Amino acid sequence: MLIQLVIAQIVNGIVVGSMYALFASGLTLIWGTMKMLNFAHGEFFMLAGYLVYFCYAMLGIDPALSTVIAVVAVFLLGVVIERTVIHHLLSRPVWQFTTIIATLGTSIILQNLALHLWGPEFQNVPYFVEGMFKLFGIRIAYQRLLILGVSCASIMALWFILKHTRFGLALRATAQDSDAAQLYGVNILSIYTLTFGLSAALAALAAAMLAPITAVNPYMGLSPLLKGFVVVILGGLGSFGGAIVGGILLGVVESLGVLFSSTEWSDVIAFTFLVLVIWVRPWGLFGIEERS
Amino acid sequence: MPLLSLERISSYYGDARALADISLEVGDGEIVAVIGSNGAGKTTMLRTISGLIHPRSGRICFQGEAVERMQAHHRIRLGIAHVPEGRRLFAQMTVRENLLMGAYGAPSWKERAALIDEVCALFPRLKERIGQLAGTLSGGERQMLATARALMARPRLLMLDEPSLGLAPKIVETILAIIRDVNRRGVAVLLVEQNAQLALKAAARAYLLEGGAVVKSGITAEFLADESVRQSYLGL
Repeated sequence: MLIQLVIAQIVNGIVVGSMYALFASGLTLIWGTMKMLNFAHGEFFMLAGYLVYFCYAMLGIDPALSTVIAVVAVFLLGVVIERTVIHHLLSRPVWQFTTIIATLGTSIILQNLALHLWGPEFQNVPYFVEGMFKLFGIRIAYQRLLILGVSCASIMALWFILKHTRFGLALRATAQDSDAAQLYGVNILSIYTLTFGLSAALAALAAAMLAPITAVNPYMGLSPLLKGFVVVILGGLGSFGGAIVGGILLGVVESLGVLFSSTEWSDVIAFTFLVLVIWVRPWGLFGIEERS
Repeated sequence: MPLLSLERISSYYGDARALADISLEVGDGEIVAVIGSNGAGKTTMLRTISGLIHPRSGRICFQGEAVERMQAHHRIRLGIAHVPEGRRLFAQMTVRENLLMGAYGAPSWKERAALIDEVCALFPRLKERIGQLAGTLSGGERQMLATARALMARPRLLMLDEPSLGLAPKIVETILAIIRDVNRRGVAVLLVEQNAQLALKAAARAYLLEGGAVVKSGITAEFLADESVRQSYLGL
């Protein structure tokens, strides 16, 4: 019985972790390319949650289409916010600090806007697919398997974009040396805008898939943001592979931790795990060791 | 009309003037050397020509077009390729990907692949290393890759910043041969070097920069004959 419980928790951990991975890969893309932290990342997640709630739960639009609507809308919002709030800061002095304040401000505005428009209540979103998968006494909701499938597919798609498209090449070049990228024809400012949009879209996809499990509310972005930063540091700042592995690892550690304590302890477990890892590897699991 | 001309260019870092009224010309198919000590403004000059820095005053003309307000990523398309100081390769990308980045402005993948074949014919060493990460190459190979990456853009003007830096004398000879070879194919070269001996050997004309200003210009024979240049820059 215990072994089945442990296996079920590991699977659940991989499922939730794969969403951490999607969410965190957005953060790490922004850090890697633009060298800034985006504190509004959680609000992209929250807004996508509401969009899925409105489209799917209220209007009865097909869940797949609702997800596409949410992802596209949040991508566009990301582009608009980058262009209006962040773009002009990047070429000015002390942008490392001004962008933090600007994204924090964006986060507060979006959160309060949601609170004002839609209230503080938790809104439930029905599962996209009903039913349970049962094997050897292990029970897993099909919704969770769907999440796993979607995250695998999107991680592979993202990997393909980064590795094999002209945009991906330009994005990685900009991340490694923005001066050299410019010298060879990359308009780095438009790369920044697209990267920001792409990152927002990843948060949106994670939110759309998780909405039926976590319920939607104005503050739903906070916990993934904290976890996202844990994952990004765990995996190594700016490392795409690190965000994927770090996310799944954190998901598994958390869900196994819940077996021995209560769910309220999951944040404590996450941060304890982070502290332990960076104690041994301050540059993260996949980061490159910096030498002074 | 020269290929490139700088007219009274002044560039600043904040309030500090790095270039003072610099005028310089590079003709079609020419090799021009710029020598001077560390901090004389050589690198700033190249960064101003390629558009990483915008001058506060003066004009830069390339093939008769004023480019001083143009952004860096547009200038490469006109044919100004800059191999920056320290090579600035994309270390976490493969040799092939670095080369692809050089042809970022090319219209198709087919064209990029053809350019890679063309450039690899010039640098057979790179062909052997095509799948390797650029960060794992030796110093000489890195300089080759940086030069090859620039050639992928089919430039009219190739600007090299300290190509000999940190390389063994034998490899410097190879690099010099490559520069001459590239030049024979009709590409003008603007060569910035602290190693004045090398630069004057490669070029037909030269400029001497001191404190951000041009203090001497002329054919290289004049530089080699000049007593103060020989003492200060050639160590003779």
